[in-house]
Amino acid sequence: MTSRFPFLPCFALAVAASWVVVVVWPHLQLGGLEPVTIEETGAVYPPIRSGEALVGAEIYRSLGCQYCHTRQVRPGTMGGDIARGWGKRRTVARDYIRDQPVMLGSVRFGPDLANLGCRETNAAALLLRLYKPSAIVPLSTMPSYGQLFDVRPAPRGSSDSHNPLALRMDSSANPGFEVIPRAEARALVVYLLSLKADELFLEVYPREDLQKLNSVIGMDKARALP
Amino acid sequence: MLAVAAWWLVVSVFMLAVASVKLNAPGFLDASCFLSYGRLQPAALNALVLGFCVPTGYTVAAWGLFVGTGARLPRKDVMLATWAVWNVGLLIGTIGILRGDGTGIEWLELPGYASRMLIVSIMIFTVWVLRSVWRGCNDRNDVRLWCCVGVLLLFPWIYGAGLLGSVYGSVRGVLSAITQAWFVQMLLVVWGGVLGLGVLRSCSAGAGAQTLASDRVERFAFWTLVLFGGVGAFQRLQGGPFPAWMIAVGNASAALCLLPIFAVLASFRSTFGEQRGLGKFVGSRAFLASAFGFYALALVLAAMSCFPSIGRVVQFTTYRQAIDMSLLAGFLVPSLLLAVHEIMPLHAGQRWPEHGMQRALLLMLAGGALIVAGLAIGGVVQGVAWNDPMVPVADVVRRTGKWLGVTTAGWVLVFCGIVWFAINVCMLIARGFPLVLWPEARAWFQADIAGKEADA
Repeated sequence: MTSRFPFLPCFALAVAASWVVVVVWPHLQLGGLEPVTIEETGAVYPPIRSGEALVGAEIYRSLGCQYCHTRQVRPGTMGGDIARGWGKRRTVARDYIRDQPVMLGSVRFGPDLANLGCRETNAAALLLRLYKPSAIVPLSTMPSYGQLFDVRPAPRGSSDSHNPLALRMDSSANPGFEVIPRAEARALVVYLLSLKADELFLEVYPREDLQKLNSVIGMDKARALP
Repeated sequence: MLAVAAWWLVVSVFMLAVASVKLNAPGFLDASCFLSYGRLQPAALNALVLGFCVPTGYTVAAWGLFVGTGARLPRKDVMLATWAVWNVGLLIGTIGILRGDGTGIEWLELPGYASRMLIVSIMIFTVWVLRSVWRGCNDRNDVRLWCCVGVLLLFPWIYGAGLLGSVYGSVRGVLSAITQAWFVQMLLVVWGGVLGLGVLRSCSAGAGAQTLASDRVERFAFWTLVLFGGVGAFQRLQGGPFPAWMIAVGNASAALCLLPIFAVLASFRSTFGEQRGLGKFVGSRAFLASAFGFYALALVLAAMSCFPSIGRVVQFTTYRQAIDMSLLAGFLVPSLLLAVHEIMPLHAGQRWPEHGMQRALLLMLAGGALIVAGLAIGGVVQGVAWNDPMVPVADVVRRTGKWLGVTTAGWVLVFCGIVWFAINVCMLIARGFPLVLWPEARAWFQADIAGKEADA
């Protein structure tokens, strides 16, 4: 490799070309995405998350939940995500425009969470899952996030706690103690419950539905003709 | 610099081994959030890449430049100061990730306060080295030297662009994931590929006392790798919420990345063939071939996942980790260790202890093979199970668990090999201690030894 070939400019050009194709071009295509208004409900999608959910997103990032859970649903032809009930449709770029940073995840050691808020509405169950995952799934490899909870003696020595925030769980696990979720745990659960990517708008309609819709519109037009 | 890098290597591989254990035994060291998998894994990967690979790669490239041009570095203390800032920044950043300050962007997790220190120090180092070389270099048309320059310039570029496009910049949504994919692809496939293949090329040519067979083939391999390697980043986004054209372009690039591999393979094969004909024994030939084999394997695995039937199985599984670990633990780290193996004795004025290095390198290769096999096969098993809606989550975990156990065994082997390697480095430094100091200190040591000999 010894010649008077202008190496450095060509090298810079080759690297810049990959940067333009991979980074700049998608920015031009997807950078201008805005929320959409759902015609049926008049709601704006994706919705703005509450302050507590944003705090929960920070906890999610801080604990590194995205290293075991993805937040992206593949189309039915590319995998069993929809068949597993992880979503009604594939996720698209518009679903994430309010996320900063976006935490899509790349490996699934546990279920996908893109629509966790749709399939799980019970905050107490999610809190219990965070405190003791094996209580929900016996062989779960999810670690316990006991650091997000306070464990303290139950008042007056009773086995059942009267604290409305205390986790309702098998009293034999912690006899004489009550488990109170800290603010971080509650914020994380609010965030998890806010994970919903199920609204239907133009770019996510399944192709077969769009074909049906087009044929109906076509028939209507044909009927309208004299 | 190399000794500190070796320390980071030991620490990071230990952390990766612990993280791997935690995937099988979630109760292991779970008393604190500090050591949760979600913090330990990114902290370890950042420590491995930024603590070992980048400093060692820079040292090798700078060494190649100074040896190749005959230039002298005017002030070593500037270089050492920049690396001190780098290492302090990395230490702060690693602790930051363990504390939960990570950015959440994979491979770019170092918190802002640490990554700024790294960017500044690497830029000062690069400018200082290039300035010194430019002044002392007479022949500026040697492309081998430009390759070293390219390695030095490429990392600040991709790291800076990656941080700007995914962490610091006001980008939102999936755009940061796209920039992150580009950074990882450029780091592992292009920067690591150019650096690692360059090291292997130097070692194989040096071992056989000849250059590689074909200059044109080599040039073809280099340019196709740089051109298609980066665009292959789109393939990392397979299955995600991205337009179809991105995935199509990524798949095409991943397939085209096989071209440089065939070219390099042809070149290496002819080199080794000629060496065999000459009857020369190359001690590290198996090691060279294995390191190259891991690189080729990673690109073949990536190309295989372009097929929809395979892609739908392996998306979002440990298969992608197998590709990355094949590039990192199987190819780049061993290649850099080989460079350290060649460079350090020259400066310490001592030989490596007998057989010590070979065993260390063999352990690392065996470990790397187990890691990649466990992750790749485990990924396929995991993907098949996830795609079957009738398989419950607990069953998916159970089926994947044994393969993750193989990976853990691999990390333990790699850790043993690296500890062995680090012990050898310490022995070498201890033996040649006076020779690796500043010239003034070296002169003082030599005068002292001469005085004692005269007294005796």
